[in-house]
Amino acid sequence: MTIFTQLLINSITVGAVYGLVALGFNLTLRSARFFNLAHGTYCVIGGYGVYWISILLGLPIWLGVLFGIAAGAIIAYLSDILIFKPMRKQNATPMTLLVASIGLFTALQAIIAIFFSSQFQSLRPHNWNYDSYTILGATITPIQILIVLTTLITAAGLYAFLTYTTFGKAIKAISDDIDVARIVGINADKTISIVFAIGGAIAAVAGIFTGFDTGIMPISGLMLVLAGITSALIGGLGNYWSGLIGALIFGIVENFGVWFIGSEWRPTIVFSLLIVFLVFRPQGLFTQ
Amino acid sequence: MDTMTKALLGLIALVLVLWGGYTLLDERVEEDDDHEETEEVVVEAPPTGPIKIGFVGPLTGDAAAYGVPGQKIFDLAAEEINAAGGINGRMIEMVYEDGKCTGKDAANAMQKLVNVDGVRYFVSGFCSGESLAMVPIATQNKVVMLSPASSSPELTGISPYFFRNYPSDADQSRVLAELSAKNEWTNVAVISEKTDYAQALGDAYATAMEKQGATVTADSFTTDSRDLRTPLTKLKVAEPQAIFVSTQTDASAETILTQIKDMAWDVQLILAETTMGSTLPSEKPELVEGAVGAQFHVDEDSEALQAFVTSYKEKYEEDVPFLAYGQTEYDAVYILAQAIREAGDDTDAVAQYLRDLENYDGVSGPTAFAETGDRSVGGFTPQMITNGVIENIEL
Repeated sequence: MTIFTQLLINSITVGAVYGLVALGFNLTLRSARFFNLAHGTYCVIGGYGVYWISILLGLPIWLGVLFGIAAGAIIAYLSDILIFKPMRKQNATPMTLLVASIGLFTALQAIIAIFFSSQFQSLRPHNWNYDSYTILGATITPIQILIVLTTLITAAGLYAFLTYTTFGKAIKAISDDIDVARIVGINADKTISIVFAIGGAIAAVAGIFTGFDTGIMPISGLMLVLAGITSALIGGLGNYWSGLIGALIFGIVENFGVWFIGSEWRPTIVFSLLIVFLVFRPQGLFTQ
Repeated sequence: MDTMTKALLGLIALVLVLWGGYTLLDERVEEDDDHEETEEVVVEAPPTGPIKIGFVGPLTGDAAAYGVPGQKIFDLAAEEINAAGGINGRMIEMVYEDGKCTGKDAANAMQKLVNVDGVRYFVSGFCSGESLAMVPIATQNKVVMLSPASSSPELTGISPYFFRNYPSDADQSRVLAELSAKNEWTNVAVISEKTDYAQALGDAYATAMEKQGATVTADSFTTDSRDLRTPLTKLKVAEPQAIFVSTQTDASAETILTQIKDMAWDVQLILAETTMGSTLPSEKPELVEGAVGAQFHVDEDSEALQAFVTSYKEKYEEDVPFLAYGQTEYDAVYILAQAIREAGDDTDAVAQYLRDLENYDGVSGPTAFAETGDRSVGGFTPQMITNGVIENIEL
């Protein structure tokens, strides 16, 4: 029982991080209609924002977190304004946009490595002392609890935003049918750019938590974005929220797989799951 | 232009290319012939150019924490030797390439240094994975490698051209197993990073413990894994008295030790030498308090070592990081220089000289090599971390 609870807690924690990535990824995917791999770098930018402000400059953690989230949002916004938007104007195919996003991903990752080195960094300050809690014989750290809560709050906030605000409704309209949205007077390009900023901010939160929980390095973005995309695909690309369920399944398969098979098989286990879904249920678990 | 003209033009181009290529090749063959003749004449005069010594090691990535200080130490040793007249009047020129602590990159770097730069002596590789990939190239090209850091047991007796003045991990795991036996740890866990060094060390310890009749639960993880809670939970369930954390990089060690602490798991820690020698004990003492390990012996009282430490500090204005490796890196350049001076600029003679070398008195203490290329004198000392300070302990 203890082991089961512990594995479940481990699964839910990583699932919550992947869920955040999937949430932002899905949001941009449904509006801009392409797989933005640079999404992984927005995560890393968030983490390194905290590293710069709070660890290197020694300023308070909350300031670093705000800076990291802002940096993720701004870089995501700029990447749309400077790269993807001009490409949309030239009617670029989703495939071309995907390739551009791989280029952007690599370039940004290299820039981060130049400024902060490619070494692994933990975002936990030295004087951070806390006790782990015990739930049903399993241990959980305050950071892990915070991660799960933040994911739930972010998802709820995003839901409220999309459902009850005019701007949120405009985003949904664009993802339903961009041409109709344009006809009714929605400025699609401007809206999409802002969707990028929101997605980037959510990605930054995921990166910051990864940094607090296990540490971060420039190449962490690849693993995060792959986990996010896999979660989104498992859940189904039909709606914004299924990625959260996909992420939970991803986390469970990853941790229980490691338990039963061995940790050196982790990448094999999780990406086999992706292939199984792509072959047998390409539309994901939920279609609408 | 019709098809006929195109075909004709194509044919003419083809003939031109073939003819051009043939003449060029022909000329080169002639040149080669000339070259051989002149070489026979020149061979009498002793060569006067610099002697290149190559280093392929981790200059970027997590393990650069070791490779970059190594580079400074090699430069220091080479400068000192050159200032004292070099090797029979010939200067040492250090040549560096990034091996990134991986076999693939090290092999590429080695190919470049041997085939393009003409380097025939190496104080390399650093990581065991690098050395394992470089040795076949060294053997094929008959170039000498003297590694100051690679300690994987798999390197023992691997090639007549491979030597190391750093002891094999077989020695480290033997000391750790003896230490475990002394403390009556009969149920132990091992978590190894999947690199040539760390995996071999973890396996060697596990084998030694099983021989002593202990129960061993082992798991391993890839270097890029950062969430090790589940593998650690798996080990925790076996309720071991001690866990051996066999890691290559500080980042991995820090990740595991933090997560052990997060799990509120109170277990005796056994650390790999890489972690004992890292900045972790001084920077995050709370993670490693009470841990034991074994490091290659550093004789702090040795005058030779003190002289090295002082000149390093004068040149670079910092203390020698990872002194255990620093001392062998410094010695490696001097040993190669002495070998080339005594045996001549000939790799076979240098290799034979190293095998016959009796008691070279270096900063890492007396050094000699076994037939297998392993260091045959000096070894690992058991240690314990108390209040962030590493102290030698009795076995």
